[in-house]
Amino acid sequence: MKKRNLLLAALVLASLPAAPALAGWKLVPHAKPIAVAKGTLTVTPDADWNRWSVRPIKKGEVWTLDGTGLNEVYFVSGLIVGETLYRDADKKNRPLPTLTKGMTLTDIPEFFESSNRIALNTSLFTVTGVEPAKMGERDAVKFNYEYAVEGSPLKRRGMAIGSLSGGVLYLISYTAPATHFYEQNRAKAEAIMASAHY
Amino acid sequence: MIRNLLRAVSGAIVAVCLIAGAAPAVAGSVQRDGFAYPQGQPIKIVVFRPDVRVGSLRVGGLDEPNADWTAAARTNIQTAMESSPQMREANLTFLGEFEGEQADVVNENRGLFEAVAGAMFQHVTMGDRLPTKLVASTDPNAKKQYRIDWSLGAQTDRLREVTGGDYALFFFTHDSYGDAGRKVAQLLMAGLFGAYVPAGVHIGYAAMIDLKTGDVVWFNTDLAMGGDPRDAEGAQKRVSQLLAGFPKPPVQPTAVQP
Amino acid sequence: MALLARSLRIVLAALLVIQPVLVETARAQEAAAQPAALPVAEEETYKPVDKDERGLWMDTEEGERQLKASQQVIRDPALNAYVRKVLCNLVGQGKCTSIRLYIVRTPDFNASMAVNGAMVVYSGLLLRTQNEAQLAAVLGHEYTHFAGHHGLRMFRQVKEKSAAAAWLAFTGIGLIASFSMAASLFSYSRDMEREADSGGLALMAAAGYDTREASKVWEQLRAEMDATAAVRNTKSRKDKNGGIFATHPPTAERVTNLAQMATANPGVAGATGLDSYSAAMGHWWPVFFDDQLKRNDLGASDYLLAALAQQGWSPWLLYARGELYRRRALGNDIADAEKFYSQGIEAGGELPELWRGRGLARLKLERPEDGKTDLNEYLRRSPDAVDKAMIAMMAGETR
Repeated sequence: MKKRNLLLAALVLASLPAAPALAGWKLVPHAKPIAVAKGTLTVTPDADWNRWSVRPIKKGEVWTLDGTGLNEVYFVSGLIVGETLYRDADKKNRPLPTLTKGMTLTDIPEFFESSNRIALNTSLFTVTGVEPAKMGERDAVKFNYEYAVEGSPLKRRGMAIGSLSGGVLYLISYTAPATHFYEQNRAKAEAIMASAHY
Repeated sequence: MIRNLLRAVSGAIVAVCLIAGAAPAVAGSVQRDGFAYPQGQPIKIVVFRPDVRVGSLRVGGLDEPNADWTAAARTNIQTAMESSPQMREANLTFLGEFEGEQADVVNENRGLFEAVAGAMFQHVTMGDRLPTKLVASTDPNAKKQYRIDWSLGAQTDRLREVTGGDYALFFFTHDSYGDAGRKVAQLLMAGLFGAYVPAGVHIGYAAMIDLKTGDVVWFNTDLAMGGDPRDAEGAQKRVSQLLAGFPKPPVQPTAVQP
Repeated sequence: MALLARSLRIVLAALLVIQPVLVETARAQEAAAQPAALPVAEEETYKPVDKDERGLWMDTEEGERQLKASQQVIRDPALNAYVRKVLCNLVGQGKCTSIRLYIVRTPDFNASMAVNGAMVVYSGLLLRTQNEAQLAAVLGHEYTHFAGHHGLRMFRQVKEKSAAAAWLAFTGIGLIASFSMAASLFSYSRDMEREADSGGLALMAAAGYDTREASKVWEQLRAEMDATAAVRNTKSRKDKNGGIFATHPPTAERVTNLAQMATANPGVAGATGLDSYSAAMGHWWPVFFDDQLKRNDLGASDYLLAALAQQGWSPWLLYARGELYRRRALGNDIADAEKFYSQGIEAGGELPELWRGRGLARLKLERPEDGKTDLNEYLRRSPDAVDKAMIAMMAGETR
C-alpha cells in the first residue's frame, strides 16, 4: 500500500510541474454511455465527471468531482477468481482477500469490507445496510458503509452496488466525507449506479 | 490539525525537488470568483488554533522539533497577525480549545477542511486540474480558466454558532532550518550528483471559510516563504506573505453606538 | 476506496521519509551528546529539561491532540477503568494519576508510552494477552521505557547517526498516525529492551502477579507468527526484526531471558488474574476478534481463537471460527464452517448470526431447504438486521 502510494505520488508529481500536458484527469461528459475500467461495465452519468488516468488495478477506474478525498467513484469491471479489489501492494505482510470461487451476492459486502479494512488500515469500518438490487437486468446487491481512517476525526460514508455473473465481479462504489459531501453528490452517484449494466 | 496536510506539503517539496532536480516555485493566492464582504456591517473573523512548527532539518532528513522556536514563532505570528493592517477591520479572534459537543463540531470541520485543502492543493496549487472545473470559453486562444468552487457546505453554520465568527481563518506555517551538518551535505550532494537538497523548509498555508455558506473564499499557499518567525520582525514579514492577496475587510463607515 | 482519497497526503509523507536513504551517503556527524543523568520521568510535576526533550514533548502533545479527536479511541468507561486499574496497581497510585491512557481500536499487537506520559494500548494487544498478568507484563514494560527516558535516548541516538527521518516514531503517538511508515525505521536498542523487560517483570512481581506469564506473551506471539506463515505458505517472521514488531521483536533470546528472570523473581505463583481479565474483556472480545477476522490472516486468527478457547469452546468462539472459515472459502472451508456454526448452536448459542452463517454455508453446500430455514431463523431472531432485505430475498429465492 505504501509502495503503491509512493508510485502514485511519483506519477502525479512527476507529471505536474515538468509537463502539465500530461494532466491526470480526463472529462467524462454527461448523458453519454461510457464503458468503464476497460471492461464491459457501462454507465451513463447525468453530470460531468473527471476520470483519473491512473488505474489502481487493471480492471479498476476512479472518477471524482472535486478530488478523491471529497467524492470518489470506483469502478471494477470483470474481476475474476484470484484477483483483488485494489492493488495488493503489501502482499507479504498484509495480503488483500482475493475473489473466491462460489462467491454469492451476500459475500460481496464482506469482500468489500475486508479489502477496505486492510487497504485503509482501519478497524473503524461498518456496513450499515445490505439489500437486493439490480445492475441492468442482473441481480445485484446494494450496500452502505461508514468508516474513518486511523488518527483522523473525519467520518466517511459510502454506498456500493455489486453484481456477479459466472463468478466474475462488477462493482461501483461511491465514497465521500459524511459531513456535507456525501449528501451533496449522492444523487449523481446513484444516477451512475442506476444506469450501470454489463 | 493540518498536520497531515503539512506533512503532505513538506513531502511534496522534497519529492518535487528530487524528481525535478530543482526547487519549485509554487505559490499562489486564490480568491473565490465573485467574493465580496457584505456591505455595511461589521464582520468577525475567527482563527482556529494555527499549526505552527519550527525545527531543524538535519542531514538525514530528520525534521527535529524545537519547542522554544515554535513557542516564539506562535506568539510572534499571532501578534503580527493581530496588528496586521489587513486585519484592521476583521475583529480577529484567536480561538482556544473547545469541549464536548462543541469540540466534536470543530474537530469534524477541521477534518473536513483538511480534506478540502488537500484537494485544492492538488488540483489548484499543484496544477493537477480537474476538467469539470474548466470555465467554458468561446475564444480558443483564451487562457484556460478553472472554477474555484470548493465548499464545506452550509453545515459550517454550526461553527458560527460555536465561535460567533462570520468567517474562519485556518493557517499553518512550517519551518525547518538547515543545520550545519545539512549544509555540508548539501554541498557534497550537489557536487557528487548535481542533486538538490533543500537547505530548509519554509512553507505556509492559509485559507478563509465563509461560515454561512461553507465556501472557501480565499486561500494562499507558499512553499518558499520568507521572514523568520522566530523574531517579531520576521514574523511580520511572514504574516504579510501569508496574507498576500487576502481580501481585506472594508472599513466600516460609522460604528453604530447603542 | 479511500486509498486514493488519501494517496497524495500519505504518499508525500512517505516520500519525505524515504529521502534520507538518498542522502545517507553524505552523512555529516554531529558531536554526540551523551545522555545526561535525567530525573525520573514519572513525577507528576515533571517537565522536560532540555532542548531535545522539549522538542519531543511539543510534537508528542500535538500528536496527542490529534489522537484525542480521532474516531479510533475506545471511550467505554468500564474498559478504560479496568486497564487503568491494572496499570495503577502496577506503578502505584501516585505515578499513575499523571498517565493519560488511550485504548485504540487497532487489531495489531502493540502498546506504547509517549515521552509526555500518554499511553496507547491497542485493542489487538488486549485480544492477545490471555490474562491480567500478561497485560501487566506489557504495561510494565512500556512504563519502564517511559520512566527510563528511552524515547529521548533513542531520539538522540538517531540524531547522532542521522539514520532515520521518522521522528514521529519517537513520540509514541506518532506510531498510530503513521504506523507502517514509522515502524520499520524505529526500534529501541537491545539494551533498552532488556531493561524494559526486567523493569516490567519487577513491577509485575511487586504487584503480586505470576511473572512466568511475561515470557508467555512473546512465546504466543512467536507461535502466532508461525501460524500466519503456515497458512500463507511463507517463512515465519518471528525472528525478523522489522515490520509490525520492529519496536518489540519477540526473539527467542527474549523469551529465554524473561523465563530466567521469572525463576529468580517469581512473584505470586498462579496469580494470573484470569477471571478478572475474562470478565473485563467478555463484552469486547467479539468486537476485537471481528476486527481480527476481517484481516485476511486465517492462521493467526485461528491460533488466537484456539488460545481464547483454552477454557472451552464457547458458542461465540465457535461462531467466530465458522465466520473465519466461511469467509476464506477455500477447499473444505465451507463444510468446516457449517460444522462450527452447528456446534455453536448445539452448545446453546443464541447469537442470531449463528443461523445466518450456517444458512449461507448450507446454501453453498447445496442444501437449499436447510439454508432457507436457517436464514428465516436469523431474521426471526434479528428482525432489524442491517442485511434483512438481502437475507429475506435469499431465504425466499431458495424456496
